[in-house]
Amino acid sequence: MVDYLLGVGILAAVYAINALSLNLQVGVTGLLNFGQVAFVGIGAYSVAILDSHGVHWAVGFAVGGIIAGVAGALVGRLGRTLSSDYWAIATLALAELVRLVALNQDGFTGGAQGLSAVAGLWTNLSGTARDTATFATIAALLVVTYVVARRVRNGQYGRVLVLIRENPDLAASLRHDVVSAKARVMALSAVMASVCGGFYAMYISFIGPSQLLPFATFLVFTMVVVGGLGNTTGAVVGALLITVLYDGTRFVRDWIDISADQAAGIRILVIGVVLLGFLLVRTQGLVPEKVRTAHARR
Amino acid sequence: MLVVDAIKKHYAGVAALDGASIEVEPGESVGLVGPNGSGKSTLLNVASGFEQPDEGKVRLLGNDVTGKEPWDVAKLGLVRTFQHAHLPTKMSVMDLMLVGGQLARGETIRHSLFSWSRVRDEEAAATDKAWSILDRIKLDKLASHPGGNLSGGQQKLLSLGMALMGDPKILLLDEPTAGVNPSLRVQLAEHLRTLQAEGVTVLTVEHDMRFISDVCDRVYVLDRGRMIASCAPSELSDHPEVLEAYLGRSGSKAVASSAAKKENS
Amino acid sequence: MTEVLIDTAVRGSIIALLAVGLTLVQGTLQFANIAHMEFATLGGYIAVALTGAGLGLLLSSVLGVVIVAVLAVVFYRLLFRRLLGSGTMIALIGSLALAIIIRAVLQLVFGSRPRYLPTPLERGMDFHGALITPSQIRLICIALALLATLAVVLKFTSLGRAIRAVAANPDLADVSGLNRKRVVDVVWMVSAGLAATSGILLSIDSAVGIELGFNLLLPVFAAAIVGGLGSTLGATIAAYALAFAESFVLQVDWGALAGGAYHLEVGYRPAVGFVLLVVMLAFRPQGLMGRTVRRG
Repeated sequence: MVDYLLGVGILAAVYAINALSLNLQVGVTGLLNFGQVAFVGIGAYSVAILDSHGVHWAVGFAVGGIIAGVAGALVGRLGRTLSSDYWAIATLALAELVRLVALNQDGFTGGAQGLSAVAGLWTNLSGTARDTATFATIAALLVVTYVVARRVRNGQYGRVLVLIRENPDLAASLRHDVVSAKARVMALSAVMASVCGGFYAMYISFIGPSQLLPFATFLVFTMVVVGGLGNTTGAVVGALLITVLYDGTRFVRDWIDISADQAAGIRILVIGVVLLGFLLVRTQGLVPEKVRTAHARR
Repeated sequence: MLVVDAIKKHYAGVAALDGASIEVEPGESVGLVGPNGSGKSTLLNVASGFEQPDEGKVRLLGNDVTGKEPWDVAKLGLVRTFQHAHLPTKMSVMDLMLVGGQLARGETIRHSLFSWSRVRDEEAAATDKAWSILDRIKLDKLASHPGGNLSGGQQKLLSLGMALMGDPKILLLDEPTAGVNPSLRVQLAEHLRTLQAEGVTVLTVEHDMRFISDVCDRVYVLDRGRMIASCAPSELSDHPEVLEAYLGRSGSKAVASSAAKKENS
Repeated sequence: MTEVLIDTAVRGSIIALLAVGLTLVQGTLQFANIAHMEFATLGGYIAVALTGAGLGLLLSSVLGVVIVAVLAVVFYRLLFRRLLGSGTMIALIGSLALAIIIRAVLQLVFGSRPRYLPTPLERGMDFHGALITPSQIRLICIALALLATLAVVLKFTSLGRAIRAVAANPDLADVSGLNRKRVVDVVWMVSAGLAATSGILLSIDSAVGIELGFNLLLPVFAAAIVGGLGSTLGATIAAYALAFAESFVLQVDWGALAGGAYHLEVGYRPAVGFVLLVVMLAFRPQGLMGRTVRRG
């Protein structure tokens, strides 16, 4: 039981980092990134590929972070003249492109089989001790990511981002460089996502193109919407709830007699219904975005 | 200060601006009037970098800013407001004031993350400034309210306050009195006169002639993308082409002049 | 080369039927419906279910198209109208959610293995050195006929004028006597019907699987965007051009440029659409036939 809870906890923390990243883009800035999984994949593959060549995982994180950051900034700049829906489709296309490369460049990526036996965390420990240490590590990383996301959201940069979401012309008229602000928030979020991907690959010691399917992005969207678009704490709450829900539905076959195929369908269906339900009935999510009150005079 | 020189701008073959020019001297308060569709908004957009002219030049404080990004124009000291404020409901009045200010450190990710104390000092200074402007425009009691929930007139006033947070050298106001109730309108006119006394240059696009004659030293009249007159507000009724532009070419002259007098009185 | 042309005509027709519908909805509601492609998948599966229940192929296909068209209006009235009320961003995420839900339900009901429509075994005919089947010829003819009919309806009938009027001015409540709500209903029915037709034609030509719609998502969006969203003619031309490009890059011996033999792997076929889409969005976001959008 403890092992199971630790497992879910680790997964939830990994997803929470991902959700914090996506919330900065979608919730705060209004940038509908349907290709979030590409940044995660860049981080995961960087760690895995370098590891398979005997390079330390820390280097993998650095390389993945740099590649993802640059990619994020470029994707952010692509939004120069695009309306938000075209841009969303473009990000989906880019993520699919990343998946196609992962699938077809077998020499580097292991093709459809992916890369397994990625170096793990705390390999000197074993069993529950190892899971506990892994959980502590990823939880610490989550705290750091949370603080970063909150600082960014609650400072002047965060105000600029929210204004870009609500009224970009007004932001531009108040001397805020809208293009650079978008590119920078995309770069920051991409780095967060790639770190998340690196840890994910190390935790399950595997990465393959099957993990880069658009559904992976969709799952994180559900977390952000359920938690509350634009609310940093909401992203973490949403990640926790949806991880428990999605992981819990793995056991659906213990309850009803259906094929593996149908079970997979049900798991996806549950997530889809939750997302659509929230969008229709409680668009602001469980922890709605707050209007910040003024600081008192000194 | 601001020179808009022979601007031409076409949309799908239709000329919105057909060689319009204006020149605003430092410290001046200039009005820009003209019938609907005469190109006033387009001119404002071109001057503030929101639209690119097909032909012509825009110069601001001696710099050629033709085709520059709106934020680059704004960084040189030109801040514009919009006809419809559309302030967000997710930001408080104070947050909106702060976003109008120059918090250079807080706007970078690096300083937000690594220079907590300096960012805090910067915020505190900006907050003080915001309070004093809010006092001045009498919105201090609403500082924690969502900006988008204010009345139309209050949003216009707040937009002006946000613009002032960045100490602009020149303000471009797009119909500041549209949808504003009479008492706020008087307040707005007072603010603009005070600002002018403080040395801020103002260019106002406006329909309300009384407001124009209250706050402007000089007024440009735009019709069908061309500048047809430039004079003191009181001299507007001396220009037959102005009346014609406003009241239509078929209206009788008697009706025209009496209506103009009414508008000017 | 003939092979490339046949391939282009077949795939171009499938993409065009979807792209024109996508562009029509985008034109009238200013919203990109990601679930649009799932109408094709739905059409295919409904036809499979009906033929399975003993109905003939033609009847099943027609019923499939009608059912999907009605479903689309139901989706619009129950879901999209409400979602659009919360803004286009929410509607866009919502359409993605609906797409996922439709796919999940189909997987629950039909499983994930591909299903086939009962089509008679056909012998491919030789056409200037390449093979073409009678069902492929039918597919191309039906698609072209529908696209031509749509063009005529849009250009010359009062319904078409009403649709164009709503697209030109979405805020207008009533358009020359035709109720705006009814116009939007018709647009959803027509575009979903065309999508279902595309899905059924594709299922007859090959098979229907859960991923049928998703695999078409990016090529269709590429065609609609390259054609200029809102322009049905642009979308049609772009669909065939894209299909040609996809087929062409696989045929070309890229290695010859550098003095070797290198063919792009077939796996990269969808990449053509992505690359075209991204390049297009970066450099000419209004599309080939689209109006220029004012910045600011």
